[in-house]
Amino acid sequence: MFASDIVRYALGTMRRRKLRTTLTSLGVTMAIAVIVALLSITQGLQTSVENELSGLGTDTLTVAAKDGSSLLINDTAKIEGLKHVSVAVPLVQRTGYLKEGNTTVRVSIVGMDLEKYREAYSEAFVAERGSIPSDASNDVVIIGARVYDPGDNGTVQFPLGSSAKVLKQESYGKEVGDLYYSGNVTGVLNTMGSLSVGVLSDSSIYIPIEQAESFYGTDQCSLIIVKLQDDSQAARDQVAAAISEQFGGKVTVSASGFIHNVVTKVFSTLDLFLVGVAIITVLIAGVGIMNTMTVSLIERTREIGTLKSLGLKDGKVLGIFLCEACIVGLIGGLAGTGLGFALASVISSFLNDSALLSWSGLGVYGNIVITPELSVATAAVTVAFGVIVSVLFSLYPAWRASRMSPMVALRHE
Amino acid sequence: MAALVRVQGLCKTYLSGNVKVEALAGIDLDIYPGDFLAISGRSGCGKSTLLAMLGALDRPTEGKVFIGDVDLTTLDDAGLSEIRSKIGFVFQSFNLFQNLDVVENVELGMSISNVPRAKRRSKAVFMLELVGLGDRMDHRPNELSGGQQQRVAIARALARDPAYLLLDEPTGNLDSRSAIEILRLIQQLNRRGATIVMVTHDPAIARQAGRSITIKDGKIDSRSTTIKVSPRR
Repeated sequence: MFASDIVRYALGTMRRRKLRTTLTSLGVTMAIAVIVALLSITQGLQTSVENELSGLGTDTLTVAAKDGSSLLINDTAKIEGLKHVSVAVPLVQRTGYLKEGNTTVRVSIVGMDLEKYREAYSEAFVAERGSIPSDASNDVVIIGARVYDPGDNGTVQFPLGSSAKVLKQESYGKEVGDLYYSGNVTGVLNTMGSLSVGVLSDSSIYIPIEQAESFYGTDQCSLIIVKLQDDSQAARDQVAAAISEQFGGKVTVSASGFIHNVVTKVFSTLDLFLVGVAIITVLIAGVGIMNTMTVSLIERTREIGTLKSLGLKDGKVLGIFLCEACIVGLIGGLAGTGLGFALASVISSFLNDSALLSWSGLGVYGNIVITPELSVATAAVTVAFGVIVSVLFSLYPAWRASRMSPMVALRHE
Repeated sequence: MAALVRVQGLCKTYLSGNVKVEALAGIDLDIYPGDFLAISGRSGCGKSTLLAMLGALDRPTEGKVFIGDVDLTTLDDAGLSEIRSKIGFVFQSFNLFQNLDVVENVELGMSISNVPRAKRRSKAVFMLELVGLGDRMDHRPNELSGGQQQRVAIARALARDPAYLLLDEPTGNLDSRSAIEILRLIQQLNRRGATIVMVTHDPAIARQAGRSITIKDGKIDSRSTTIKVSPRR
């Protein structure tokens, strides 16, 4: 029997058993769909996070006070005196409001030395509109892209040159005493996207550090960003150790490389989790396939006997069953890959629309946008995986069919 | 004339649970080219087991089965498959493939023997016309009557030019009219030179064969030859 005849015969049998074929394929479809959905979401998430983290650079360190201790704005002088340090930027971060006329929006207020910060993040801290003055007066306010135009549709809330009130968190609805001051909007930052760099965020406003000191009546800062003269691991380690020693171990020093490492570790763990899910899913689908094929074998015992009485050899009987498994796997693999990607798109869309992926920490604020990813190569691998799973779990029933005695098979009722 | 099939001291014992069942207990038989041999006997006498041995479907416990010079008892599974592809089987319940239409059913046996596709179709059409089903080729087996389905099975068996035809109760599932038609077709084929071995439990049908043996308790109980007298004109 030629290979083409085996394929034709297998297709004919499957056409006749449409429901069984559909149900078996559905098992493979669901297994592959789950794997593809998880894979493409994870891949999309990883790419999104990595892309955003790449903006952090590797030549900066973030210094934060440990619980129970504090960092002073003046502490930057100590850090700037260290070897390999280019500049140290203190940041005062608070939550508050920006108001102009009837418009009030909740924002993250960041007090910083604008000039030094531009030195630390020369590529990211750039005005899309207006400018970031180098000798900023105290009433300068730089705003993020979403504060300027929340819907990114030309509806501007705080035009350049406008005078806006910067309100403390506790001042909402009051506007009394020293709970606010009036600032001039002089610049709008470039759109940062889903994840912020350093402390830059589309929904933040930036004011001079001196203004923040007096407005909040504090000499403490939330973070100090340290820009290094070079991005070698040795320099990072040396400066981190020196800062830690200088502050008596009461601060945490994080390198962006550290964040990269954490992210890599998280995704490695996620990959392991994925493998686990894949194994469980495949086992469930595989047992289903084996069950269906075994039932099919019992149903088709006389057919096998007749084929053997016509002289069909054991290997060809095996071939027919495995060919059917192959086709089931192919249908399930293709459908599962398509369904899985569609599922991933729906889930990602839901996650992106919800606030589940908004987060902050280690000087990074923002929300992650997941775009599910599925390369042609990955899709091909998942389809092939469907075929392999189907064939593997059909091996035993197919082998049993091939080894069946023609006499016994023909007498089967 | 040399025998086409020689059976010598054939025994077959089955285990049914812990009980040994002796299905064949020493059968000696020669089948010659052009024979029409009927094997009859009561249910369970061993006639179907003997047919299975003649068709290389099963192995004997003792004894030999020769097809020409080939001793079937020395062959492995692949060798037996090869032999089966040279024998035509017709079963009581037709054993047609419902996923294939009539002409494809006839082609299937040839495709197993690796006959090229173009040749298969013309041969299948010829065989179906021979058995009087030239107009039912595109039908599915379940769209045909029992007699017609048995004709398809005979066409399938004949299409590979088998060394001999083994018929297992070919009229067992048919009404009397269809049974007579099938019997006539078998006789016609025999007159054209086909060697036929037919198992039947019906003595009346067995009498239609040129030669018949009756099996009882796994042994040949009687042998007879039918002398056909042509009617006077």
